[in-house]
Amino acid sequence: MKPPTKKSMHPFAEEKLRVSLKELADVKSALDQHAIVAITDPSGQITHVNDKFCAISKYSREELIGQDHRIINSGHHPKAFIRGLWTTIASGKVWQGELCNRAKDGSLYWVDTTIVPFLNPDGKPDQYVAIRADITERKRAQDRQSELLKELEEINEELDQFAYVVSHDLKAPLRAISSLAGWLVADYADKLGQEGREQLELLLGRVKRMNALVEGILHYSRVGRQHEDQVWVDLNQLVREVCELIALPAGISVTIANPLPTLRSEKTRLMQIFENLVSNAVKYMGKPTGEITVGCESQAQHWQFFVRDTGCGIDQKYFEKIFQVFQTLAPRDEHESTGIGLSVVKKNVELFGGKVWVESTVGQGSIFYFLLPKSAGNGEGGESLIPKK
Amino acid sequence: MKPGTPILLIEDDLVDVMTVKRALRELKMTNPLRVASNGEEGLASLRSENQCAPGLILLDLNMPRMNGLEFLQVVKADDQLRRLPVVVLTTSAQANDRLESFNLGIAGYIIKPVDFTNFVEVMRSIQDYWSHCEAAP
Repeated sequence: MKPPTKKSMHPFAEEKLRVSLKELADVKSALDQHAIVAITDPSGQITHVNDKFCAISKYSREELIGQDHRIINSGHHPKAFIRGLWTTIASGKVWQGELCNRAKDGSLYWVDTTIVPFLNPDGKPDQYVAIRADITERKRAQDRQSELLKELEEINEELDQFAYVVSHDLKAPLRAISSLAGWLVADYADKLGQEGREQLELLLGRVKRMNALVEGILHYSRVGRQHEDQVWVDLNQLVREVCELIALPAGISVTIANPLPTLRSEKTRLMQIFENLVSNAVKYMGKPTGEITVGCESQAQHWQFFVRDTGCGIDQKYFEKIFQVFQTLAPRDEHESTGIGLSVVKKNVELFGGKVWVESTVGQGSIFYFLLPKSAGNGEGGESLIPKK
Repeated sequence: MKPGTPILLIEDDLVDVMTVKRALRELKMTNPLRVASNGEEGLASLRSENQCAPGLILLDLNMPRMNGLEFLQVVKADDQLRRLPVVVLTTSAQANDRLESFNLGIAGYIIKPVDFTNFVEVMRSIQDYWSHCEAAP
């Protein structure tokens, strides 16, 4: 870009030119401070590189000028990807993307790249300007993150598998203890005496409890392990099924406050959520009569469900604790409970990408809320919960 | 299955063997019970010359040396043995075990109840069914 010769110029135009040249130089120098810049001719031969380009590629300017970009080709990208890049810029369009290049010493670096074709009056590119930013660190962090995530998933899976195997193997000796203790009572009742019989009864009770705990672990581990096909689930129907399943006591009613949606999802997971919440509401009603209400509110991104009871309520300081595995609030001798139910609810809701919480007043009752996203189809593993149109 | 026809129990857990024996006693079942503690012993018992064939095989799955599924593979490939009815009696509720067992042509699959009273009920239903059931010619 040579300025026109001096003598032909009007002094005013000359001044204007001087200013715009300075502006141009300023912008270029600012760009050189920030970005990795290269210019090539239409055939892809490098005609200009800035210092940053030389620094990151570890080639000198002399080594680069006249070469094409194959000199820094890493071989990382498939041929079709590179062809796509060339097709785009050769047709006069800007290309943007992330490229992996190889420096002179063989090390790889990543650059976020914008290639702008500049066209001659015929509409054909006469040069390409490539502006890049070093994103090697970001790429490394991303790789590391997905590696860690994969590891975490594997560990979780292993843990679920472990819980399954352990609990399964624990049940066999438990069954034997239960049988043997039962036979002792049956065969030697007269020889045992009152105290002996009581002790054996206690032993049998504890065996039952342990069996329930082991069943609980099995159940909890199954939540993460097993996936089933997505089907349309009418939640009104599902709540009715849940009520039949848990055999409601005569004085306790379950009402659906407003029509519940029909969702495409894994039925067993939804079943586990509602079954545990409703059966808890029944179990902790604390009196022979009571009302349980199930309802739903449609929000922008979520369905917000609730299960409300008129039971004994929960002290606020336990609002977090009750969702942890094996946590119960009543002594096990009063209330046979494994403390698994709410943790199963939480695990299921979170697998859907939702959340669960409780609001409660002691003596008045509790409301368990949970959110299910209307569509959680962001990437792999995300269960979609699409409402039926 | 006549009252005198033997039942072959293939089970490695001593207490589980006791459980079956007790249940039979409680139900006053007079069928003699033969016990093998793994698949290999079960096969040996079935193939020994001087014993009549059992009317029913009760089979555990998790056993040392030769497990229940391996036993089934051998039995169902054997022309002499394949028609013997086998009922799997196991703690495993796993879908895989059930699928494989039924693929191998079992007559029934029962998960061992934890509670002895329930176990007796299970044995009672086995007795009810097999006492009315005709054996293959």
